[in-house]
Amino acid sequence: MNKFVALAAVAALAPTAALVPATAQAEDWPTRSVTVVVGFGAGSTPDLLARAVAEGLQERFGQPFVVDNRPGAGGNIGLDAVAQADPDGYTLGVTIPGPLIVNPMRMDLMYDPATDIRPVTMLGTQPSVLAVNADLEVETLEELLDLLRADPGAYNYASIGVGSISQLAMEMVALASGTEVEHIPYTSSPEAVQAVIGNEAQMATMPPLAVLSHAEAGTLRLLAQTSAERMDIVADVPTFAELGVDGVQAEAWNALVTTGGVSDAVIDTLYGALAELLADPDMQARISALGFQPVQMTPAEFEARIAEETPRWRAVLQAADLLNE
Amino acid sequence: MDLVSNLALGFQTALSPMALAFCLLGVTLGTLIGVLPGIGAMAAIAMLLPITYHVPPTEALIMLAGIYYGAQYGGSTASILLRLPGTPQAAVVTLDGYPMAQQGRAGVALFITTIASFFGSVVGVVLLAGFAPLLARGAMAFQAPEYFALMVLGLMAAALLTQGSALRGLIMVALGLSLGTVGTDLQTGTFRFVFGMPELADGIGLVAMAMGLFGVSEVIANAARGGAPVARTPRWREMIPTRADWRAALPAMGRGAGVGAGFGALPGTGSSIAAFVSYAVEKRVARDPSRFGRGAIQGVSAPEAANNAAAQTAFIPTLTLGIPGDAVLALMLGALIIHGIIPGPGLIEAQPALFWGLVASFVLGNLMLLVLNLPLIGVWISILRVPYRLLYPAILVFICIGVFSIRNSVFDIWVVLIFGAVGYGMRLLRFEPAPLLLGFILGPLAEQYLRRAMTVSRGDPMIFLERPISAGLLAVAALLLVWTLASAWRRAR
Repeated sequence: MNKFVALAAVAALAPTAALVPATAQAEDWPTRSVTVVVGFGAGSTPDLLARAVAEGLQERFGQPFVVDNRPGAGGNIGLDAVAQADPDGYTLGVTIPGPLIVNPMRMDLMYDPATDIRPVTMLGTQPSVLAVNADLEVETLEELLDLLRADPGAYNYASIGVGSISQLAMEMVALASGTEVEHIPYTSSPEAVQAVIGNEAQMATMPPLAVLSHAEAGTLRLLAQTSAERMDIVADVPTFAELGVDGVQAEAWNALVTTGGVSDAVIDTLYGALAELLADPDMQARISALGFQPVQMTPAEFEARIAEETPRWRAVLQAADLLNE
Repeated sequence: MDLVSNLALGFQTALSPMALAFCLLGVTLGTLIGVLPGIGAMAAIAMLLPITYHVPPTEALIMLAGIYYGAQYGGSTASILLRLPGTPQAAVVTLDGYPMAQQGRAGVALFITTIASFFGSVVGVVLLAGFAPLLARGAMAFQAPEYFALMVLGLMAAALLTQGSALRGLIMVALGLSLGTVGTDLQTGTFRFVFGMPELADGIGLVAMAMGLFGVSEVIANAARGGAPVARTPRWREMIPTRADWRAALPAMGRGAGVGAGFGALPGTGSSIAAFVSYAVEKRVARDPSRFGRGAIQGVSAPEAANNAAAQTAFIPTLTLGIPGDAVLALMLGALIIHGIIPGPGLIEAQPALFWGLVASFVLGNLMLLVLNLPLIGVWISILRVPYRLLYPAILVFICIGVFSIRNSVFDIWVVLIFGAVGYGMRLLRFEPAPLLLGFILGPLAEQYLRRAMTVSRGDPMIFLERPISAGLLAVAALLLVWTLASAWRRAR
């Protein structure tokens, strides 16, 4: 009986549904408010970036873009909410590499980023900067590596948590240079930076914004940055490749994603607006103020970038004994 | 003098009509939000963050800061009237504030907490203005071993919080410590007791737990006996504290403000344990400790002064070192970064108008809060006139909204429900929730600092005794333990 009623209801709805072809729906997108899920708390860098982008998209589309903070589990809860949403393009997400690339290799998650998430574009990227306590008697990366080689495991590095880019970038340095450093995890970047200044740890790879003011004050020394090419915010700091250490490339980017299975038409509309927005000098200024380098990346380029980074992080996780097998 | 010219610059900034308007807006919002249990300054500041894009940084920060310390004033209101603590600090105020309300002295309790809030804030602001760089350097001397020793001291204070048997208190502390182990192992990233629920990856929500244990359990208990025990609401004249009240409350405020100001300057841990420690201090110095938990006015005024003093001195590490004292202050740093101001050691020199303007606005804001809060006491008291059968559904709704707003998570509402039932069970068995809460807060911190210190020393426990501050704190903790055991033994004889 119940089944019959349900069937009747479906039959009654079918004609109306047929009147709205799928393509028309995509072309119209968005016809109502869009949620931008952020896996971090209000005021965090991904949140500030998401709010700036949401405001820009709202102006362009004339529909509300509402930021929804779902903090927890290193961003996994937020990305999971995007993965579980209806694939209609009304749920977007701002994420960092952790929940999208690193965490799925570290632990069992409720979502599979390969099928449940559709990458849209990178919003901005930042290098990690290797900073050492200014009292440590090293002026250059080479001197630091010599010091580490002379006394393996005697020095500590601080990070903002297990599995964070801040930890993995340093592990990547250790792997590439054949050195050994002891890890001490902290819970936030100010705390980790403080530990380096107080000499509880001697070094850390950190976002530029977290270390720049301390480098100016003379308590930290910046030795190298982990991006392939020098980024504007730390233009006077050499890259690892320039200093002869190959294989160190770690960027803590922020990216916009949506649910897996969202139609190409919606992605095209969305990316078209995003490309304009991210090229706008005002928006670029806002992104730069947060310590990021603005980027231009098509959905295909971003997917290729994820595919390129995945094996690199896998090798580091393996070396740091963090891979979930 | 340098300080005078700095303050002159500060007041020049803070007294501009626009700064005054934003200060008033901030403290008013803070007061209203602080009164709603669970809906803390966090939610309010998060909502207002986008607006700060369009406001100059100094005014934006004055407003956000006003919400932050304004919320501290109101935070105790729901704890005293309804046993609904929205923060761990407010949980301490319930211990004696709620019994006072049940005795018909809710007005006195609210009056005293307002004065204590103001007094504590003033002490905090004076320290902030006069000694910010010095206190920041002092905070720098605190590393993992010192913080661990401090946590041990805090746990000793937990034992003093109990009103009945010390054994029952210890059982609750142990239960709190165990609950604190849920979540991600900070050192290895391994999940502990998460049972596949990502919502538990960061541990059990503190506010959800506190609201369940204190608030929901109280609602169940009142429903079980057919209404709240408060039958009579006080008249206006009875709201003014008596001379005896003042004599007891004022020295307690002084001690509380001192404890709070000191702890507040320590990033990360300060304000939540300041209130607990100041309560323990009061109980220790009191001539008749048995009055605590039954409406002792010192038990209300000291923690309240402590928590407001801590709220002001928490700006010291935030502004001078760029290390936020708590999540709300981290949010405020975000507001600075939006404007391209990077918090760090050079901030006071680079942005004197911002720093001193903020300090001056604290003075003005606290005066506004005093004027704003005293007349409101009568309004809050009238809540008690609402029949309980109408009041408690509203309380439950507010709890749910408040807890949900913390991280937009329905899961946390279930946590409230479960801890409400647990809290009611504990009440039937005569176990107290306060030591459990303190164990829950301090346990994970103690673990984190212990393991960090042991990593630094490569496994040598002597690190705790070789460093003077850590050794000193541990000695005080040991003394407290001996003292407590000795007095228990004397009583037993």
